[in-house]
Amino acid sequence: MFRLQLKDNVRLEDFKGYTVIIPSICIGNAAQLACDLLISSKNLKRVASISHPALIPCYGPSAFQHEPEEKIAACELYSCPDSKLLVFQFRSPFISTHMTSFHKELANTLNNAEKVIVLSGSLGFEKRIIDSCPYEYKASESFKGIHGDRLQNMKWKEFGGEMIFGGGNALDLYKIMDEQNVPVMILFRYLLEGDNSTDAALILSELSELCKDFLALNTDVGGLQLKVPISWKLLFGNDIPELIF
Amino acid sequence: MGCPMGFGEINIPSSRAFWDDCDEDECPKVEAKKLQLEFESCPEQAEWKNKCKRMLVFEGPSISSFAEATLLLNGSQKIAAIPSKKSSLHYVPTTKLLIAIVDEDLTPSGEICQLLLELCKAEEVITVTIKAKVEYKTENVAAVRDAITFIRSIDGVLNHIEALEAPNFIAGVAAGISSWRCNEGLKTQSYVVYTDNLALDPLAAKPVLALLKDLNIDYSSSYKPKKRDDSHLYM
Repeated sequence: MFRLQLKDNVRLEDFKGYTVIIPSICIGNAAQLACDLLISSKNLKRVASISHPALIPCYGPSAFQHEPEEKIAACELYSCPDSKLLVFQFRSPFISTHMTSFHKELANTLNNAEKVIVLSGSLGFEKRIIDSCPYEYKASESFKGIHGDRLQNMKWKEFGGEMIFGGGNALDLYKIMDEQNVPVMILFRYLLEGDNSTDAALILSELSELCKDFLALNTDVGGLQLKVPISWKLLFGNDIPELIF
Repeated sequence: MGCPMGFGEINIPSSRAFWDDCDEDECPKVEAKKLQLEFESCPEQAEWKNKCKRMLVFEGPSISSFAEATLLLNGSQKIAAIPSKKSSLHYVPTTKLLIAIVDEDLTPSGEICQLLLELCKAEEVITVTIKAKVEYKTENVAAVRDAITFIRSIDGVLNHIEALEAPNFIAGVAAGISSWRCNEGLKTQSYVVYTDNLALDPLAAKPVLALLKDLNIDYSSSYKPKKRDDSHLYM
């Protein structure tokens, strides 16, 4: 059962006309890291959580220094009413046998959104033309109808393949959103497993180019003003004990 | 993703999207069969349904024998089997305590969590999650290096137990119940037991028993893990 727990008298109708950003659980968790950066940098406010059999529940201290009293959950929603922005964060992998129902419920919940942008990544060695742009996108006709001009100004290549390898649930979510006529786009970067925090910042930088009017992450001197969340501490585990040497 | 590797086989990384063994291009389109609690008797008129005051969720890898020997004292009644490994639900009428023993199995944890949440709304819920000590992340490793077992809490009321700090977290049924109740503003205490010995022999179990005592939960300290003759050195 899909359970949406909204906070502080927030209603689902309040998100009408919002831009929704959803990370897929992709290679290197790059899209989730990008959403972490976005939530932290813009001090977004937690407005809801979702539970569903497709999500492995998790619970712990706050992942962000700007909301120290919050607790992490498997699926969290953050918003910024001024920017009309709703950002999802997933903190656990999915259970495949429940994915279709989860995606459908998610699409039903978001059918009032102005647009949905799914962030993702793909296996670096799937990129066949070495010096081409490392970002590709796939947009629905309804998305192109609204934001076609902006997409043409971007240096990204349109993805024409059948499968985004390493992209996780991005394409499945895209298809279900498109079937329900939600304007949807996937933006992904070719990358490799490792320290993917840089990939996250780069994905966010591209997203910021597309949505610069409301993301407002750029500084006066160029570049992005990003804030690393506390949950990125010890990303690769504890320090190596000196005794082993 | 979960395929065992053969010698010389190239390991092509997959996305991390699915916990269960599923390739991203072969995601099943048919919904899985719904899980159900297997009740021992009709739950509708049962005493526990209306009288239960507190609920304890005790979860961890292979903890069922420890939990059953420690928590299920005379007078406890088995209510239902939880459809996950050796998990089960019990009620202690004298203390009006509902006990869910969950042998960690993350795949059905989201679904089981919803089944338990629908079952009853206890005034107070306490969760205890057992985890391996190596999973604990800290910048001060020296502080816990010599402890066989130590405990951290999330919204715990026991002042002598330190709070769990980011980026640590718990996952599973206990996490789901705590998370849902926390979002609803309901009273929940979550404790995480980090131990070097997941079998919880008398030495490793000592802090766990002390925690149960502090929480006013009746327990027995007679549990001894079964001696195993198998060697860890060879197959």
